[in-house]
Amino acid sequence: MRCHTARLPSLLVLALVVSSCAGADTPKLARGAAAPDFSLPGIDGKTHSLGEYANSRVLAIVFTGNSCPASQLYESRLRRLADDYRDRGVTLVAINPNRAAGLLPQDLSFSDVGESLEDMKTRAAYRKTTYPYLSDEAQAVTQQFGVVSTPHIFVFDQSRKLHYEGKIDDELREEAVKSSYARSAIDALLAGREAPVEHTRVAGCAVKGLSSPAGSTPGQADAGKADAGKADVPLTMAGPEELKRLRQNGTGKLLLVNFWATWCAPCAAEFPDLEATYRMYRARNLEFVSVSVNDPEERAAVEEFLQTHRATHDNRLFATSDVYGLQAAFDPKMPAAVPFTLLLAPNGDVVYQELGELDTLKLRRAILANLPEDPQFPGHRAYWSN
Amino acid sequence: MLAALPLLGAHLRAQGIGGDPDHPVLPIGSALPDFNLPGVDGKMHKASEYGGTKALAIVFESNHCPVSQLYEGRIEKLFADYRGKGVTLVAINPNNPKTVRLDELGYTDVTDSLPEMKLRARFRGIDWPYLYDGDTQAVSSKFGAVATPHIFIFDEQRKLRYQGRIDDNQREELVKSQDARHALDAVLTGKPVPIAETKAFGCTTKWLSKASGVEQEWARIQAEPVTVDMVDAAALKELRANATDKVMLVHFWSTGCALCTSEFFDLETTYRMYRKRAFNLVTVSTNGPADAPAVLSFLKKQYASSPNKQFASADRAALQAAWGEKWSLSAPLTMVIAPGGNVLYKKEGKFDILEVRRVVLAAMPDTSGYIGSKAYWMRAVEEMRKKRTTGPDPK
Repeated sequence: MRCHTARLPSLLVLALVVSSCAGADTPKLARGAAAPDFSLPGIDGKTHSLGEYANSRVLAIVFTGNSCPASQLYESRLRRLADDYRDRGVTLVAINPNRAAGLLPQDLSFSDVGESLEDMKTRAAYRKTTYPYLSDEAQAVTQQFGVVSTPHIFVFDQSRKLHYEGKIDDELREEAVKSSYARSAIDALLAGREAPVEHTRVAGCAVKGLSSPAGSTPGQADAGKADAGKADVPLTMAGPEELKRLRQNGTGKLLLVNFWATWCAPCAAEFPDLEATYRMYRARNLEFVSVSVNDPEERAAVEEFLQTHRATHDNRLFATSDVYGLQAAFDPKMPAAVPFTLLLAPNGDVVYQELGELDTLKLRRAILANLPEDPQFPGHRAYWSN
Repeated sequence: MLAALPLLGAHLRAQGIGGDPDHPVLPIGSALPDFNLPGVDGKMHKASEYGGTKALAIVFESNHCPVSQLYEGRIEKLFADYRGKGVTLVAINPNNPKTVRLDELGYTDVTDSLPEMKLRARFRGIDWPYLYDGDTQAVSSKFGAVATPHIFIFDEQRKLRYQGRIDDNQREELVKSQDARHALDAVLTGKPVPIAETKAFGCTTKWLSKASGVEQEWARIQAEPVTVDMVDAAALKELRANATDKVMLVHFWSTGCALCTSEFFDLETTYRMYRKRAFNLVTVSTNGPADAPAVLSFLKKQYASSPNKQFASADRAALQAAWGEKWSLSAPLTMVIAPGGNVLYKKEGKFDILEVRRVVLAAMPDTSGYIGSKAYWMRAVEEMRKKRTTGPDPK
């Protein structure tokens, strides 16, 4: 069954966001239901189960992941919730319901990392997460809770009966929040009262990899096609004029430029990461141009390399042996050594640069901080900017 | 289409390309940074010992970088042409072998350690001081050495007068502007240096502060599958003919041969260095088929993910006949075979891994790599052969 999501701005967001339909109207767990047991690996390297939180007066379990922009925007609120209530006998446990295996690059268009336990550790370290963060790669716990989208919070009392499930609060934009459902439920339980609201409908991102009748993922067919046969890998010669134009970035988009050479091992080592990065964000208007500083006589090797990496975007090769002259034509300030990677804003501003091998996460975070704000997720750019 | 595409960065000051904030390049006019570094001569060398001459050129170079290698000859000429005019030249390697992965060694026989700098210096007849800064990179950091090669020229007062490239083309035959020589000529005649700063093209300095991926590479290698194919005489004949477009290093060995097992690791390392280029290593066990478990077990201990073969019959005369060579099967046999079957190297018994690597480097085509690299290594191999026939080589 498919939902009407015509007002959503792009196909990509359509795939990602299910705000108008995914939050089930009839939750699988209703008020009074017992907390399903679990035993899941956490980012601390240990396995965690329901029983170990038995002493907590209130247990809040939130299903949230790395790649969903809504989940990201709630990270700081969850951290504060955990910190504010920790001394009052409240424990917050986060469970990632997404299946890391089989994720497509475009599933990560709002994220620096994927959904594996390693990725969760990376995110937790980056965002200084203070609460347990567990992986439900097999999705059995997710299904027991009836979770289909993130973030989705469940608040249980001391006897582990459910009192509230649904949204954390009523607004993605924190400054516009009027009702803090999760906090109200916790406050009520701590005061020995009933939670004022027992259910709200979750709006966020569909859980990744959950088998569902509407489970056709756009892009999967494309990905399969891309793996077969020879890729269409354009390669054009770049003289001084072309390079000057490239530096000005007339694309109207955020532009990733990578200078490389076949003989440069760090260049070759980081190239797959650049390709993956491009595939992650291209639907959000990221352009990628690779520029080989090889000698024109080495063209065959350049073509073979690009073919190996299925570099189906804009690729250039220095048109002459005058490496220094061509680099100066691109930008007199350009360092001459390779690899050299730049991120150019539509107006030509350099918003990121790296000489030598890339730190892929740093690059991805710079891209996320400079891609246009998606109206679906106000504050997402700011999330990646600090 | 998104409804509103905000103009990125419009509210910001125009941002251009900046330098490396962690390792800024030494500004023109700066005094010579102090240093005390070990050299290939086994001694420590201080900046102060290079005082008293009219000019001092400090050039950052490395073993592993193909660009740097192609400048060795030019640095040698610079050294020879200017030493009589009062110019001192000192080379510093800024890299630490701990930051250089095996897959970055595709164009070299040795990596960037001090012992291996000694090997390179002896091999290439480098008779200018060649110092190692890889331990802390403190000196390279003071200079802001961007890449290898990167030259810094100081005047008599040891003030920096020029920094950047040696000349304007990595292909020597295309050089139009001898920037380092122009700077030296100006310094020697007391004139202003025409262009004081240029960019240095080459391999970026392998800073210790950056993640190198060396450990991850080793973990990946250890996870690679290790297999052995049983082969018959026809397959060996086909191997010998080398119908592939790759330079092939073939190594016959057996588990019972101590020499074979002791030098096996070097071969696998060589495979990991060159396998992204037109190169392949094939190991062939001369053990009988009954020894298959022992053969596989040894290869696994070596993480030998290269193509590995074992002769499918215990008939060793048939094995030698198929390969077309006679050798003592208690010893290893190592050969380098060019595409088309031409034998470039053959050694029964102990081999010199550096010699093997140089023969391979000289045989791989430039067009799929770096123009000039083949010639560099061909010259090296010729000199090696000359030395062997005429020189007092103890071997």
